[in-house]
Amino acid sequence: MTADTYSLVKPALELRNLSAWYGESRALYDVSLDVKPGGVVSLLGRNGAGKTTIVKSIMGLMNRREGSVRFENRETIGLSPRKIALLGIGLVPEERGIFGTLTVQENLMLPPVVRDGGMTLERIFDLFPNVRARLTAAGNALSGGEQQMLAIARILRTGARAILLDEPTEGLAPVIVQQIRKTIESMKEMGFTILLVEQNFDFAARVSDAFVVIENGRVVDRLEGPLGSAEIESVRRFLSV
Amino acid sequence: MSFQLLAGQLVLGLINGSFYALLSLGLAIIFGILNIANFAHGAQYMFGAMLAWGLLEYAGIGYWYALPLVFLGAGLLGLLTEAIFIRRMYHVDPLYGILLTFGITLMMQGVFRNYYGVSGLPYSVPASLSGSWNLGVMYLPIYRVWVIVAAVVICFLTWYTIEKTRIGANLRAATENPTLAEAFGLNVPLLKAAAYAGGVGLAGLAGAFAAPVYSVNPMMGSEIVIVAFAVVVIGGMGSIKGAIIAGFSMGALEGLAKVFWPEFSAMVIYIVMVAVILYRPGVDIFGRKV
Repeated sequence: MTADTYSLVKPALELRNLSAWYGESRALYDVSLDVKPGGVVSLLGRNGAGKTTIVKSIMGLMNRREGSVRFENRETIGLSPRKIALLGIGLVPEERGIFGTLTVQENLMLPPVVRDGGMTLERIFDLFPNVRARLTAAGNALSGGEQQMLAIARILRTGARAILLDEPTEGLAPVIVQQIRKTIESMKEMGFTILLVEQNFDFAARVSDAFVVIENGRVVDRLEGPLGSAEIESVRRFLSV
Repeated sequence: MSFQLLAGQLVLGLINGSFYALLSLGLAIIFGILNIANFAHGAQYMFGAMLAWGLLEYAGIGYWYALPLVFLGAGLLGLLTEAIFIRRMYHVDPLYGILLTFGITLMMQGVFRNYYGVSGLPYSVPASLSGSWNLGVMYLPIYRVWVIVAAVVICFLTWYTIEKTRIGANLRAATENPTLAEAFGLNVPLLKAAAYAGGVGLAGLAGAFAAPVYSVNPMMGSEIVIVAFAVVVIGGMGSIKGAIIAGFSMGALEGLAKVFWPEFSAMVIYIVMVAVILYRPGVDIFGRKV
Protein backbone atom coordinates (compact mmCIF):
# COMPACT_ATOMS: atom_id res chain seq x y z
CA MET A 1 0.00 0.00 0.00
CA THR A 2 1.49 3.34 -1.02
CA ALA A 3 1.32 6.45 1.08
CA ASP A 4 -1.34 7.86 -1.23
CA THR A 5 -3.75 5.00 -0.98
CA TYR A 6 -3.13 4.91 2.74
CA SER A 7 -4.30 8.49 3.12
CA LEU A 8 -7.34 7.65 1.03
CA VAL A 9 -8.50 4.97 3.41
CA LYS A 10 -7.91 7.03 6.51
CA PRO A 11 -11.35 7.38 8.02
CA ALA A 12 -13.35 10.50 7.18
CA LEU A 13 -15.28 10.10 10.38
CA GLU A 14 -13.55 8.59 13.35
CA LEU A 15 -15.24 7.99 16.71
CA ARG A 16 -13.08 6.96 19.66
CA ASN A 17 -14.47 6.09 23.08
CA LEU A 18 -17.44 8.35 22.55
CA SER A 19 -19.69 8.61 25.59
CA ALA A 20 -22.77 10.74 25.98
CA TRP A 21 -25.39 11.54 28.56
CA TYR A 22 -29.05 12.58 28.65
CA GLY A 23 -29.00 14.70 31.80
CA GLU A 24 -27.66 12.39 34.48
CA SER A 25 -28.22 9.15 32.66
CA ARG A 26 -25.50 7.77 30.46
CA ALA A 27 -26.60 6.81 26.98
CA LEU A 28 -23.36 5.85 25.20
CA TYR A 29 -20.41 3.84 26.49
CA ASP A 30 -17.06 4.20 24.70
CA VAL A 31 -18.36 3.90 21.17
CA SER A 32 -15.59 3.60 18.59
CA LEU A 33 -16.17 3.33 14.87
CA ASP A 34 -14.76 4.51 11.54
CA VAL A 35 -16.37 5.55 8.30
CA LYS A 36 -13.98 5.65 5.37
CA PRO A 37 -14.22 8.41 2.81
CA GLY A 38 -16.93 7.40 0.37
CA GLY A 39 -17.99 4.51 2.58
CA VAL A 40 -21.42 3.65 3.86
CA VAL A 41 -21.58 2.31 7.40
CA SER A 42 -24.85 1.20 8.96
CA LEU A 43 -25.65 1.33 12.63
CA LEU A 44 -27.87 -1.60 13.47
CA GLY A 45 -29.67 -2.30 16.69
CA ARG A 46 -33.05 -2.49 18.30
CA ASN A 47 -35.18 0.48 19.28
CA GLY A 48 -33.53 2.46 22.04
CA ALA A 49 -30.13 0.81 21.53
CA GLY A 50 -28.47 4.21 21.10
CA LYS A 51 -28.18 4.58 17.32
CA THR A 52 -29.83 7.99 17.13
CA THR A 53 -27.85 9.05 20.19
CA ILE A 54 -24.65 8.33 18.26
CA VAL A 55 -25.87 10.54 15.41
CA LYS A 56 -26.81 13.31 17.84
CA SER A 57 -23.47 13.03 19.59
CA ILE A 58 -21.58 13.38 16.33
CA MET A 59 -23.54 16.59 15.62
CA GLY A 60 -22.87 17.88 19.14
CA LEU A 61 -26.56 17.83 20.02
CA MET A 62 -26.14 16.07 23.39
CA ASN A 63 -25.57 18.40 26.32
CA ARG A 64 -22.70 16.24 27.48
CA ARG A 65 -20.38 14.13 25.35
CA GLU A 66 -16.87 12.85 25.94
CA GLY A 67 -14.25 11.01 23.97
CA SER A 68 -13.22 11.88 20.45
CA VAL A 69 -15.07 12.56 17.21
CA ARG A 70 -12.68 13.41 14.39
CA PHE A 71 -13.95 14.57 11.04
CA GLU A 72 -11.36 14.72 8.25
CA ASN A 73 -8.69 14.65 10.90
CA ARG A 74 -10.18 17.47 12.91
CA GLU A 75 -11.29 17.01 16.49
CA THR A 76 -14.89 18.21 16.92
CA ILE A 77 -15.64 17.18 20.50
CA GLY A 78 -15.46 20.76 21.79
CA LEU A 79 -17.35 22.36 18.90
CA SER A 80 -20.95 23.62 18.81
CA PRO A 81 -23.48 21.92 16.48
CA ARG A 82 -23.25 24.92 14.19
CA LYS A 83 -19.46 24.68 13.84
CA ILE A 84 -19.72 20.95 13.24
CA ALA A 85 -22.29 21.50 10.50
CA LEU A 86 -20.09 24.14 8.89
CA LEU A 87 -17.18 21.67 8.76
CA GLY A 88 -19.24 19.70 6.27
CA ILE A 89 -21.27 17.13 8.17
CA GLY A 90 -24.85 17.11 6.93
CA LEU A 91 -27.71 15.78 9.02
CA VAL A 92 -30.81 14.06 7.71
CA PRO A 93 -32.46 13.75 11.10
CA GLU A 94 -34.88 11.18 12.41
CA GLU A 95 -38.47 12.05 11.51
CA ARG A 96 -36.91 14.11 8.70
CA GLY A 97 -36.84 17.46 10.47
CA ILE A 98 -38.74 19.41 7.83
CA PHE A 99 -39.71 22.86 9.07
CA GLY A 100 -43.50 22.98 8.78
CA THR A 101 -43.73 26.77 8.84
CA LEU A 102 -41.33 27.08 5.90
CA THR A 103 -42.14 26.35 2.28
CA VAL A 104 -40.40 23.51 0.46
CA GLN A 105 -38.15 26.02 -1.28
CA GLU A 106 -37.28 27.72 2.01
CA ASN A 107 -36.50 24.35 3.58
CA LEU A 108 -34.31 23.50 0.61
CA MET A 109 -32.38 26.78 0.78
CA LEU A 110 -32.15 26.89 4.59
CA PRO A 111 -28.82 25.21 5.41
CA PRO A 112 -25.93 27.47 4.43
CA VAL A 113 -23.51 26.24 1.77
CA VAL A 114 -20.51 24.93 3.70
CA ARG A 115 -18.25 24.01 0.82
CA ASP A 116 -17.91 24.31 -2.93
CA GLY A 117 -19.06 21.37 -4.94
CA GLY A 118 -22.58 21.06 -3.58
CA MET A 119 -25.22 19.93 -6.02
CA THR A 120 -26.87 22.51 -8.22
CA LEU A 121 -30.61 22.92 -7.90
CA GLU A 122 -30.96 21.51 -11.42
CA ARG A 123 -29.30 18.26 -10.42
CA ILE A 124 -31.28 18.06 -7.21
CA PHE A 125 -34.51 18.48 -9.15
CA ASP A 126 -33.41 15.77 -11.58
CA LEU A 127 -32.90 13.43 -8.64
CA PHE A 128 -36.10 14.49 -6.87
CA PRO A 129 -38.67 15.67 -9.41
CA ASN A 130 -41.40 15.81 -6.74
CA VAL A 131 -39.42 18.37 -4.77
CA ARG A 132 -39.49 20.69 -7.77
CA ALA A 133 -43.19 20.11 -8.24
CA ARG A 134 -43.98 21.17 -4.67
CA LEU A 135 -41.60 24.11 -4.17
CA THR A 136 -44.26 26.54 -2.98
CA ALA A 137 -46.06 24.08 -0.67
CA ALA A 138 -45.66 24.38 3.08
CA GLY A 139 -43.24 21.89 4.62
CA ASN A 140 -45.95 20.28 6.70
CA ALA A 141 -48.15 19.73 3.65
CA LEU A 142 -45.76 17.13 2.21
CA SER A 143 -46.21 13.39 2.42
CA GLY A 144 -43.66 11.41 4.44
CA GLY A 145 -41.87 10.32 1.30
CA GLU A 146 -41.70 13.84 -0.10
CA GLN A 147 -40.39 15.09 3.26
CA GLN A 148 -37.66 12.49 3.22
CA MET A 149 -36.62 13.46 -0.31
CA LEU A 150 -36.55 17.10 0.76
CA ALA A 151 -34.51 16.27 3.87
CA ILE A 152 -31.88 14.60 1.70
CA ALA A 153 -32.04 17.21 -1.07
CA ARG A 154 -31.50 20.03 1.38
CA ILE A 155 -28.19 18.54 2.52
CA LEU A 156 -26.93 17.72 -0.99
CA ARG A 157 -27.07 21.44 -1.83
CA THR A 158 -24.66 22.45 0.94
CA GLY A 159 -21.53 20.71 -0.29
CA ALA A 160 -21.31 18.62 2.90
CA ARG A 161 -19.25 15.53 2.15
CA ALA A 162 -20.38 13.39 5.07
CA ILE A 163 -24.02 12.69 5.68
CA LEU A 164 -25.71 11.25 8.74
CA LEU A 165 -28.94 9.55 7.67
CA ASP A 166 -31.16 8.72 10.61
CA GLU A 167 -33.87 6.17 9.73
CA PRO A 168 -34.55 7.43 6.21
CA THR A 169 -37.07 4.67 5.44
CA GLU A 170 -39.06 4.79 8.64
CA GLY A 171 -42.79 4.61 8.01
CA LEU A 172 -42.51 4.89 4.23
CA ALA A 173 -44.19 2.81 1.52
CA PRO A 174 -42.04 0.16 -0.21
CA VAL A 175 -41.99 2.06 -3.50
CA ILE A 176 -40.59 5.14 -1.72
CA VAL A 177 -38.09 3.01 0.20
CA GLN A 178 -36.83 1.73 -3.14
CA GLN A 179 -36.44 5.28 -4.41
CA ILE A 180 -34.47 6.23 -1.31
CA ARG A 181 -32.25 3.19 -1.75
CA LYS A 182 -31.47 4.31 -5.30
CA THR A 183 -30.72 7.78 -4.00
CA ILE A 184 -28.29 6.45 -1.41
CA GLU A 185 -26.65 4.28 -4.06
CA SER A 186 -26.12 7.26 -6.33
CA MET A 187 -24.83 9.35 -3.40
CA LYS A 188 -22.36 6.55 -2.76
CA GLU A 189 -21.25 6.67 -6.40
CA MET A 190 -20.74 10.41 -6.02
CA GLY A 191 -18.37 9.71 -3.16
CA PHE A 192 -20.36 10.83 -0.14
CA THR A 193 -19.36 9.41 3.21
CA ILE A 194 -22.50 8.07 4.83
CA LEU A 195 -23.41 6.93 8.31
CA LEU A 196 -26.81 5.28 8.15
CA VAL A 197 -29.11 4.42 11.03
CA GLU A 198 -31.56 1.79 9.90
CA GLN A 199 -34.12 -0.51 11.51
CA ASN A 200 -34.72 -2.17 8.18
CA PHE A 201 -31.80 -4.58 7.97
CA ASP A 202 -32.52 -5.76 4.45
CA PHE A 203 -32.39 -2.16 3.30
CA ALA A 204 -29.15 -1.50 5.17
CA ALA A 205 -27.56 -4.70 3.91
CA ARG A 206 -28.05 -3.67 0.30
CA VAL A 207 -26.39 -0.27 0.51
CA SER A 208 -23.71 -0.59 3.21
CA ASP A 209 -20.03 -1.58 3.16
CA ALA A 210 -19.83 -2.19 6.87
CA PHE A 211 -22.14 -2.65 9.84
CA VAL A 212 -21.80 -1.72 13.47
CA VAL A 213 -24.21 -3.40 15.87
CA ILE A 214 -25.26 -1.32 18.88
CA GLU A 215 -26.83 -2.59 22.07
CA ASN A 216 -27.40 -0.64 25.30
CA GLY A 217 -25.24 2.23 24.10
CA ARG A 218 -22.26 0.00 23.29
CA VAL A 219 -20.75 -1.46 20.14
CA VAL A 220 -21.34 -5.19 20.36
CA ASP A 221 -20.32 -6.29 16.89
CA ARG A 222 -18.69 -5.07 13.68
CA LEU A 223 -19.13 -6.68 10.30
CA GLU A 224 -17.56 -5.94 6.95
CA GLY A 225 -19.78 -6.31 3.90
CA PRO A 226 -20.72 -8.02 1.79
CA LEU A 227 -22.22 -10.31 4.40
CA GLY A 228 -22.40 -14.07 4.03
CA SER A 229 -25.74 -15.75 4.55
CA ALA A 230 -24.69 -17.04 7.99
CA GLU A 231 -23.81 -13.50 9.10
CA ILE A 232 -27.07 -12.15 7.75
CA GLU A 233 -28.97 -14.81 9.67
CA SER A 234 -27.18 -14.05 12.93
CA VAL A 235 -27.70 -10.29 12.64
CA ARG A 236 -31.33 -10.79 11.74
CA ARG A 237 -31.82 -13.06 14.73
CA PHE A 238 -30.10 -10.53 16.99
CA LEU A 239 -32.30 -7.67 15.78
CA SER A 240 -35.54 -9.59 16.05
CA VAL A 241 -35.09 -10.94 19.57
CA MET B 1 -75.37 60.15 17.21
CA SER B 2 -73.76 62.07 14.40
CA PHE B 3 -71.69 60.78 11.55
CA GLN B 4 -68.97 63.25 12.57
CA LEU B 5 -68.67 61.67 15.96
CA LEU B 6 -68.51 58.18 14.52
CA ALA B 7 -65.92 59.06 11.85
CA GLY B 8 -63.88 61.09 14.30
CA GLN B 9 -63.72 58.30 16.86
CA LEU B 10 -62.94 55.77 14.17
CA VAL B 11 -59.96 57.83 13.00
CA LEU B 12 -58.81 58.30 16.59
CA GLY B 13 -59.25 54.58 17.12
CA LEU B 14 -57.23 53.76 14.03
CA ILE B 15 -54.37 56.00 15.11
CA ASN B 16 -54.33 54.30 18.51
CA GLY B 17 -54.56 51.03 16.61
CA SER B 18 -51.46 52.01 14.62
CA PHE B 19 -49.47 52.22 17.84
CA TYR B 20 -51.00 49.00 19.16
CA ALA B 21 -50.06 47.25 15.91
CA LEU B 22 -46.47 48.56 15.86
CA LEU B 23 -45.91 47.63 19.49
CA SER B 24 -47.67 44.27 19.33
CA LEU B 25 -45.73 43.41 16.20
CA GLY B 26 -42.42 43.82 18.03
CA LEU B 27 -43.74 41.95 21.05
CA ALA B 28 -44.95 39.10 18.86
CA ILE B 29 -41.59 38.84 17.09
CA ILE B 30 -39.70 38.80 20.38
CA PHE B 31 -42.12 36.37 21.99
CA GLY B 32 -42.17 34.08 18.98
CA ILE B 33 -38.44 33.87 18.45
CA LEU B 34 -36.95 34.38 21.92
CA ASN B 35 -39.88 33.10 23.98
CA ILE B 36 -39.51 36.22 26.12
CA ALA B 37 -42.52 38.30 27.21
CA ASN B 38 -40.78 41.64 26.79
CA PHE B 39 -42.28 43.84 29.49
CA ALA B 40 -39.58 46.43 28.75
CA HIS B 41 -41.38 47.18 25.47
CA GLY B 42 -43.24 50.17 26.88
CA ALA B 43 -40.02 51.67 28.25
CA GLN B 44 -38.33 51.08 24.90
CA TYR B 45 -41.21 52.90 23.20
CA MET B 46 -40.71 55.74 25.69
CA PHE B 47 -36.98 55.66 24.91
CA GLY B 48 -37.79 56.20 21.23
CA ALA B 49 -39.97 59.22 22.00
CA MET B 50 -37.37 60.68 24.38
CA LEU B 51 -34.65 60.10 21.79
CA ALA B 52 -36.67 61.91 19.12
CA TRP B 53 -37.24 64.76 21.57
CA GLY B 54 -33.56 64.81 22.60
CA LEU B 55 -32.33 64.83 19.00
CA LEU B 56 -34.37 67.96 18.35
CA GLU B 57 -33.66 69.61 21.70
CA TYR B 58 -29.91 69.02 21.87
CA ALA B 59 -28.83 68.51 18.26
CA GLY B 60 -31.47 70.33 16.26
CA ILE B 61 -32.24 67.17 14.32
CA GLY B 62 -35.80 67.31 13.09
CA TYR B 63 -38.53 64.74 12.74
CA TRP B 64 -37.65 63.23 9.36
CA TYR B 65 -34.02 62.54 10.22
CA ALA B 66 -35.03 61.46 13.71
CA LEU B 67 -37.20 58.58 12.43
CA PRO B 68 -34.37 56.42 11.01
CA LEU B 69 -32.00 57.53 13.79
CA VAL B 70 -34.49 56.52 16.47
CA PHE B 71 -35.04 53.15 14.80
CA LEU B 72 -31.28 52.54 14.77
CA GLY B 73 -30.77 53.95 18.26
CA ALA B 74 -33.52 51.82 19.76
CA GLY B 75 -32.20 48.82 17.81
CA LEU B 76 -28.78 49.42 19.33
CA LEU B 77 -30.37 49.66 22.77
CA GLY B 78 -32.04 46.33 21.99
CA LEU B 79 -28.73 44.74 20.98
CA LEU B 80 -27.09 45.86 24.22
CA THR B 81 -30.06 44.81 26.35
CA GLU B 82 -30.05 41.39 24.70
CA ALA B 83 -26.31 40.93 25.13
CA ILE B 84 -26.24 42.06 28.75
CA PHE B 85 -29.55 40.79 30.14
CA ILE B 86 -31.98 38.92 27.90
CA ARG B 87 -29.50 36.30 26.68
CA ARG B 88 -29.24 34.93 30.22
CA MET B 89 -32.95 34.16 30.26
CA TYR B 90 -33.03 31.66 27.38
CA HIS B 91 -32.42 28.59 29.48
CA VAL B 92 -34.39 29.47 32.58
CA ASP B 93 -38.09 29.59 33.43
CA PRO B 94 -39.90 32.28 31.33
CA LEU B 95 -41.07 33.87 34.58
CA TYR B 96 -37.55 35.20 35.13
CA GLY B 97 -37.71 36.92 31.75
CA ILE B 98 -40.92 38.69 32.77
CA LEU B 99 -39.41 39.85 36.05
CA LEU B 100 -36.17 40.93 34.38
CA THR B 101 -37.84 42.95 31.63
CA PHE B 102 -40.18 44.50 34.19
CA GLY B 103 -37.10 45.50 36.20
CA ILE B 104 -35.52 47.00 33.08
CA THR B 105 -38.69 49.07 32.64
CA LEU B 106 -38.44 50.42 36.19
CA MET B 107 -34.75 51.23 35.73
CA MET B 108 -35.32 53.08 32.48
CA GLN B 109 -38.31 54.98 33.82
CA GLY B 110 -36.35 55.90 36.95
CA VAL B 111 -33.39 57.23 35.02
CA PHE B 112 -35.50 59.35 32.68
CA ARG B 113 -37.73 60.58 35.49
CA ASN B 114 -34.68 61.69 37.41
CA TYR B 115 -33.56 63.97 34.58
CA TYR B 116 -36.78 65.01 32.91
CA GLY B 117 -39.55 64.74 35.51
CA VAL B 118 -43.01 63.48 34.60
CA SER B 119 -44.75 66.59 33.38
CA GLY B 120 -44.30 65.89 29.69
CA LEU B 121 -42.01 67.42 27.09
CA PRO B 122 -43.32 69.26 24.04
CA TYR B 123 -42.65 67.91 20.55
CA SER B 124 -44.52 69.61 17.80
CA VAL B 125 -45.88 68.13 14.60
CA PRO B 126 -43.36 68.69 11.78
CA ALA B 127 -44.33 71.61 9.55
CA SER B 128 -44.71 69.38 6.50
CA LEU B 129 -47.42 67.35 8.28
CA SER B 130 -49.20 70.08 10.21
CA GLY B 131 -52.69 71.23 9.43
CA SER B 132 -55.69 69.19 8.51
CA TRP B 133 -57.87 68.30 5.59
CA ASN B 134 -61.43 69.51 5.57
CA LEU B 135 -63.52 66.54 4.53
CA GLY B 136 -66.78 68.42 4.91
CA VAL B 137 -68.04 66.21 7.70
CA MET B 138 -64.84 66.45 9.73
CA TYR B 139 -61.36 67.89 9.91
CA LEU B 140 -58.73 65.21 9.41
CA PRO B 141 -55.36 66.10 10.95
CA ILE B 142 -52.69 65.28 8.38
CA TYR B 143 -50.23 64.00 10.99
CA ARG B 144 -52.71 61.33 12.12
CA VAL B 145 -53.27 60.17 8.56
CA TRP B 146 -49.50 59.98 8.16
CA VAL B 147 -49.12 57.83 11.28
CA ILE B 148 -51.77 55.39 10.11
CA VAL B 149 -50.27 55.11 6.61
CA ALA B 150 -46.72 54.79 7.96
CA ALA B 151 -47.78 52.11 10.46
CA VAL B 152 -49.52 50.10 7.75
CA VAL B 153 -46.43 50.29 5.53
CA ILE B 154 -44.03 49.36 8.35
CA CYS B 155 -46.24 46.47 9.45
CA PHE B 156 -46.38 45.20 5.87
CA LEU B 157 -42.61 45.48 5.39
CA THR B 158 -41.97 43.65 8.66
CA TRP B 159 -44.44 40.93 7.77
CA TYR B 160 -42.86 40.63 4.33
CA THR B 161 -39.35 40.39 5.76
CA ILE B 162 -40.36 37.60 8.11
CA GLU B 163 -42.65 35.64 5.82
CA LYS B 164 -41.05 36.08 2.40
CA THR B 165 -37.29 36.61 2.65
CA ARG B 166 -34.29 34.41 3.29
CA ILE B 167 -33.51 36.00 6.65
CA GLY B 168 -37.18 35.59 7.59
CA ALA B 169 -37.01 31.88 6.73
CA ASN B 170 -33.97 31.56 9.00
CA LEU B 171 -35.86 33.30 11.80
CA ARG B 172 -38.89 31.07 11.36
CA ALA B 173 -36.71 27.95 11.32
CA ALA B 174 -34.95 29.09 14.50
CA THR B 175 -38.38 29.68 16.06
CA GLU B 176 -39.79 26.31 15.07
CA ASN B 177 -36.81 24.17 16.03
CA PRO B 178 -33.72 26.03 17.28
CA THR B 179 -31.73 22.85 17.92
CA LEU B 180 -32.21 21.57 14.41
CA ALA B 181 -31.59 25.01 12.89
CA GLU B 182 -28.26 25.07 14.67
CA ALA B 183 -27.42 21.56 13.47
CA PHE B 184 -27.85 22.87 9.91
CA GLY B 185 -25.30 25.60 10.56
CA LEU B 186 -27.59 28.54 11.33
CA ASN B 187 -26.36 31.08 13.85
CA VAL B 188 -29.32 30.93 16.20
CA PRO B 189 -27.89 33.23 18.92
CA LEU B 190 -27.27 35.92 16.29
CA LEU B 191 -30.80 35.49 14.90
CA LYS B 192 -32.23 35.92 18.40
CA ALA B 193 -30.20 39.06 19.02
CA ALA B 194 -31.29 40.48 15.67
CA ALA B 195 -34.94 39.67 16.40
CA TYR B 196 -34.76 41.42 19.76
CA ALA B 197 -33.01 44.44 18.27
CA GLY B 198 -35.60 44.60 15.49
CA GLY B 199 -38.50 44.42 17.95
CA VAL B 200 -37.01 47.15 20.14
CA GLY B 201 -36.29 49.23 17.03
CA LEU B 202 -39.98 49.04 16.12
CA ALA B 203 -40.98 50.05 19.66
CA GLY B 204 -38.62 53.03 19.47
CA LEU B 205 -39.97 54.02 16.08
CA ALA B 206 -43.52 53.86 17.46
CA GLY B 207 -42.33 56.18 20.24
CA ALA B 208 -41.01 58.67 17.69
CA PHE B 209 -44.35 58.57 15.84
CA ALA B 210 -46.10 59.14 19.16
CA ALA B 211 -43.98 62.12 20.22
CA PRO B 212 -46.09 64.77 18.42
CA VAL B 213 -49.47 63.24 19.41
CA TYR B 214 -49.05 61.96 22.94
CA SER B 215 -47.21 63.59 25.79
CA VAL B 216 -43.48 62.72 25.81
CA ASN B 217 -42.74 61.64 29.36
CA PRO B 218 -40.94 58.81 31.15
CA MET B 219 -44.17 57.02 32.04
CA MET B 220 -45.77 57.17 28.59
CA GLY B 221 -45.15 53.49 27.84
CA SER B 222 -46.46 52.00 31.04
CA GLU B 223 -50.09 51.79 30.01
CA ILE B 224 -49.82 51.15 26.30
CA VAL B 225 -47.55 48.13 26.86
CA ILE B 226 -50.37 46.39 28.72
CA VAL B 227 -52.76 47.05 25.82
CA ALA B 228 -50.09 45.79 23.42
CA PHE B 229 -49.80 42.54 25.38
CA ALA B 230 -53.58 42.14 25.29
CA VAL B 231 -53.43 42.66 21.51
CA VAL B 232 -50.69 40.03 21.17
CA VAL B 233 -52.88 37.57 23.06
CA ILE B 234 -55.87 38.41 20.84
CA GLY B 235 -53.80 38.05 17.68
CA GLY B 236 -52.43 34.69 18.82
CA MET B 237 -49.25 34.60 20.87
CA GLY B 238 -46.32 35.16 18.55
CA SER B 239 -48.37 35.45 15.35
CA ILE B 240 -47.08 38.35 13.26
CA LYS B 241 -50.09 38.77 11.01
CA GLY B 242 -52.39 38.25 13.98
CA ALA B 243 -50.70 41.02 15.98
CA ILE B 244 -50.98 43.49 13.10
CA ILE B 245 -54.62 42.82 12.35
CA ALA B 246 -55.58 42.65 16.02
CA GLY B 247 -53.70 45.92 16.65
CA PHE B 248 -55.60 47.94 14.05
CA SER B 249 -58.95 46.30 14.73
CA MET B 250 -58.70 46.71 18.50
CA GLY B 251 -57.90 50.40 18.00
CA ALA B 252 -60.96 50.75 15.78
CA LEU B 253 -63.09 48.77 18.22
CA GLU B 254 -61.99 51.02 21.06
CA GLY B 255 -62.93 54.06 18.97
CA LEU B 256 -66.37 52.64 18.19
CA ALA B 257 -66.87 51.74 21.83
CA LYS B 258 -66.34 55.41 22.69
CA VAL B 259 -69.38 56.22 20.53
CA PHE B 260 -71.70 53.37 21.41
CA TRP B 261 -70.64 52.34 24.88
CA PRO B 262 -68.38 55.04 26.32
CA GLU B 263 -68.33 53.62 29.85
CA PHE B 264 -66.70 50.44 28.58
CA SER B 265 -64.34 51.90 25.99
CA ALA B 266 -61.35 51.75 28.33
CA MET B 267 -61.83 48.05 28.95
CA VAL B 268 -63.25 46.73 25.70
CA ILE B 269 -59.87 45.38 24.55
CA TYR B 270 -59.43 43.51 27.80
CA ILE B 271 -62.92 42.04 27.47
CA VAL B 272 -61.95 40.70 24.04
CA MET B 273 -58.68 39.39 25.49
CA VAL B 274 -60.45 37.53 28.28
CA ALA B 275 -62.91 36.07 25.77
CA VAL B 276 -60.02 34.91 23.57
CA ILE B 277 -58.24 33.32 26.50
CA LEU B 278 -61.42 31.56 27.63
CA TYR B 279 -62.78 30.43 24.30
CA ARG B 280 -59.94 30.33 21.78
CA PRO B 281 -56.71 29.71 23.65
CA GLY B 282 -53.73 28.62 21.59
CA VAL B 283 -54.99 29.70 18.16
CA ASP B 284 -54.43 32.92 16.24
CA ILE B 285 -57.25 35.03 14.81
CA PHE B 286 -57.23 32.90 11.66
CA GLY B 287 -57.89 29.80 13.75
CA ARG B 288 -54.43 28.35 13.19
CA LYS B 289 -52.54 26.78 16.02
CA VAL B 290 -49.74 28.88 17.46
